[in-house]
Amino acid sequence: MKDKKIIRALDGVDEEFLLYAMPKKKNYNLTKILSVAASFVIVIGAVIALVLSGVLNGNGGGIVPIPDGGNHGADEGGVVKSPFASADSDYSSLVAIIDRFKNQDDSWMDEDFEVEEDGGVPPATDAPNAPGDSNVSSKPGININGEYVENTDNQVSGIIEGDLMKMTDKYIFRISYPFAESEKNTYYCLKVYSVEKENSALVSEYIIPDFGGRIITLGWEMYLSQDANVITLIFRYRDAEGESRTGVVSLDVSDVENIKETASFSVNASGFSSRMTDGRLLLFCQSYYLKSKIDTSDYSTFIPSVRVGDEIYFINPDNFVLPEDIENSYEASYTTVIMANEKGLDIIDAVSLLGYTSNEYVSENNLFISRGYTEKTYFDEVNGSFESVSDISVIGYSENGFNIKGVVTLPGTIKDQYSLDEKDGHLRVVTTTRCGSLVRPHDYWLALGSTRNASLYVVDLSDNSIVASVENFAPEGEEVSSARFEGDKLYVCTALIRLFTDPVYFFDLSDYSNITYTDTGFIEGFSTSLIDLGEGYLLGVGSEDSIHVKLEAYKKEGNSVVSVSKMLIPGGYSNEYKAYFINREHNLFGFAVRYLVDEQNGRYENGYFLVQLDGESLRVIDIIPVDGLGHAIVRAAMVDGYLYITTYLDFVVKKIEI
Amino acid sequence: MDDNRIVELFFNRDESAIEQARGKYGRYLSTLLYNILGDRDDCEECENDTYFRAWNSIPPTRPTSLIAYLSKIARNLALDKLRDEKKRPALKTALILDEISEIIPDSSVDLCDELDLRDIMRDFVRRLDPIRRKIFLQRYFYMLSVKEIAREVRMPEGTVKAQLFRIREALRDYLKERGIEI
Repeated sequence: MKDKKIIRALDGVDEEFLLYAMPKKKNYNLTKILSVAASFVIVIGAVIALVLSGVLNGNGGGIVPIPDGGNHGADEGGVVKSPFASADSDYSSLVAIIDRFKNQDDSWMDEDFEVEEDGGVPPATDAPNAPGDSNVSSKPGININGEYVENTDNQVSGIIEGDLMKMTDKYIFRISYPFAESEKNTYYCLKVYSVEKENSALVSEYIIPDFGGRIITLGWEMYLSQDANVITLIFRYRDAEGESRTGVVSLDVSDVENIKETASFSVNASGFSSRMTDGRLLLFCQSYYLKSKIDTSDYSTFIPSVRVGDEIYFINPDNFVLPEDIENSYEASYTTVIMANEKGLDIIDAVSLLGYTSNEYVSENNLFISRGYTEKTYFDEVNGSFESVSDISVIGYSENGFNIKGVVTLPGTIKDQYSLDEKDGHLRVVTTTRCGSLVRPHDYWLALGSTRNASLYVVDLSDNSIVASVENFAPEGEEVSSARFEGDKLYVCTALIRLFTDPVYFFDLSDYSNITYTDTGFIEGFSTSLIDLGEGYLLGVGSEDSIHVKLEAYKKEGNSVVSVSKMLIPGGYSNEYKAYFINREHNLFGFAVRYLVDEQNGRYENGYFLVQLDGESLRVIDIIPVDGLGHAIVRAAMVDGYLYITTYLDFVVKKIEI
Repeated sequence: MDDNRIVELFFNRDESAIEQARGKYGRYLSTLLYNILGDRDDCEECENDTYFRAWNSIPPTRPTSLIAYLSKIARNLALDKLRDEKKRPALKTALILDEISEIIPDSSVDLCDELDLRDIMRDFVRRLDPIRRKIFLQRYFYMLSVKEIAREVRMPEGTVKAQLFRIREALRDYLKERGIEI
C-alpha cells in the first residue's frame, strides 16, 4: 500500500526531530507486556550480524583542505578573483554567524504554550519548478542553420531553463526511466528519438554515469547547446558515503549513436535549479547542514564545496553573502550559485548565500535570489509583533563571473520565480504579506491573530529603493497563488486556497506613478499557472474544487476582467509548468490529466489533453492515451502538424487536426 | 543507564544490553506498537523482534539516539506485519492511513523507490517549523490521535486538525513538485 510507503519513509527523518516530537505524556492505556525469557537473548547470540545502512552521520570523503584551484573570473575592478578558497582564506565572518547559530537558545522549542485557534497560513513552501511564461514564438525544433530553437517555454527570452526533453528538427533527447540491466542494476538513460512523423523511432540510448553512487530520481535538468552538439545533464545523487550531491555531466552528442562523456563536477547539495545563457551554465544549489553536526573546525561540516575529479574546493569566503544571523532553525542552509562554461564545464565563478533557500529569478543582467524570514519587534517583556519579510539578493553576472550588488528587503513572501521581473532597471515583485501579534515566550509566527494579503512592489535597482507599490490589493486573508509579468502587464491570481476562490487581477505597469488594475471579482476555483496567450487572452490552469481541474480563459473588458470560457475536467493534474505544451500560434495547450472516464464505477484513466482556445471558446482537440504517466514528467512538442509526447516510458507521435 | 552506555554493551556483545534497553524503553515501544497493531500478542512479538534486530545491527551501527533507532525498527516491523499478514491495523492507525491516502501518489510513486521517498520526506520535515513538525511526526510517526496530540502541544483539537490538513496539503504540493502526484 502506497500510504504505508509514505509512513514508512518517515524513518529517514532526522533523529533530533523525532526526539523533539516524542510524546512526553502518558495519554493512553499502557498494557504490560510480559518480559521475554532470557533464553531468547541467548538465541540472539547465534545470529549473523547484518550491516544496516541509512540514518547515520557521515562527512563526505576525500576532502582536500583548501587548495588553490578553479578558474578565475574578474570583478568589476578588473581584479582577478577565484571562485574557491586558497590556503590563506579567512572564514571568520561566516564562522562567527555559525557559532551564534549553534549557541542560540532553542529552549523555547520545548515549552508548552497556549495558542488560540487561528486562521494563519501554512509556511511558504519553496517552488523550485514554478510555472512560467515566455517570449518565444518560434516553432520548436526548427532547423535553422543546423541549430535548434528552444522548445521549453522559458520565463525570459534567452535565459534557457533546464528540462527533461530537448530537441532539434532531427532528434528528440529525453531523460528516461531507469534502464534495467538486471534486477540489481538499474540506470538512468538518455534516449534519442528520430523526428520522422509516423516513422519516428528510438535511435540510441546512453546510460547516464552515476559518479559511483546512486542517482536520485527526481528533478533532472538537461540542456542542449546551440550547435546541438553538447548535452548538459544535472541531477541529484547519493555518493558512496551516502551524502546527497548534485552532479553535472557534459556529453558529446554530435554523433547520437556514439555519445561520450567529456566533463563533470559535483556539489555537496541536496537540491538545485539552473539556467543556461550565452553558453554559460548558472547552477543554483541548495545545501543544508544540521546544527548538531556542524563543527566549525571542519569546513566540510558547514561550507559548500565543489568536487572536480578527486579534488574538493570550498567556496571562496569573499564570495559569501551573509545575513546578520540565521535563527529558529535546526539547520544552516545555503544557496550556492556556480557559473561554468557549457562546453568543458570549466568553473568561472561561484557565490554562496547563507540562509537563502527560496526562489531564484534570472534576468538578462542579474540574478535575484530571495530568502524569506520573520521579523519580530518587541514592545515590552511580553508583547510584540511580527511580519513576514523577504531579502532579495541582487547579483550581476557577465562572462567574467558574478558581481554582488546588494540586498533588497520587501514585506511578504515570494511564491516563485514568476513573482519577480526586471524591466528597464526596475525590479517588480509580487508578495504575500503577513503580519500579526506575538506573545513571549512563544513567539512563533503561528500567533494570536494575523493578517494576510497580496502586494506589489517596484524597486529602482540603481539604489534599491521602493519607488512604487500597491499594497494589500486582494481580499483580506488571500495569498498569491500565481503571477505573471509580461512587459508592462502583470497578471496575478490570489486565493484562499482552502475555499477555492480566485480573483484574477490585470495590472497596468506602464506608469509607476499611477499603477492601475482591474479584476474578475470572486470566481470559483483558483489558478496555479497563468499563461499569456497573446491578443489580450490569459489562460489559467488550476482547480475548480477538490475534484475538478479547471482551464479558464480571461480577457480584459473595459474596467474589468472577465472569464470568456471555462473547461472542467474531473480528475487531477500537475502544476509543473514545464509539463505543459503551449503553442501560441494556434492557441493550443496540452497537459496530462488523470481523468474520470466512468463516473458510475469511479474509474480513472491517464490521458494527454490537447485543448484549443478557438475564438473565445475552449475545446478539446484530442485526448491521447499515454503510458508511464507521471503528470509532472510528461513533455510534448509539435513539429509540422505532429505532436510528439514523451514520458519516462513512452513515446507517442500523433498527427493533429486543427 | 544512559544510551551511550547501553550502546557500548551492544558493542561489547553483552547480552544485558537487551535488558537495559527493554527496561528503559520497553514500555514506550510497546505503546508505539500497540498504537499501530492494536493486538497485545502482535505487540509482544514485534517488540521482541525489535531487540533482535537491534542486536544484529549494533555494531556496526552506532545510533546517536537509541530510542529513535529502536522506534524506527519497531515501526517498520509493525508495518511489515500488517502488510505480510494482511492484518487490519488498529483503528487509530487505519484512520491515519486514510488521511495519508488522500495525498498518496498513484502509479507515479512506483517510479520513486523507497530511498528516494525517504529523502523527500526527510527534506519535507526539515522545512516545517518546529510546532508543525512536532504535530506531523506525532501523528504519522508516533501514530497519536488528534486528542493525544492536542494534549501534547496544548492546542485545541480543532486547531490540530486544521494544522494537519494544511501540512498534508503542503506535503501534496511538495510531492507534486518532485514529480510524485495524484
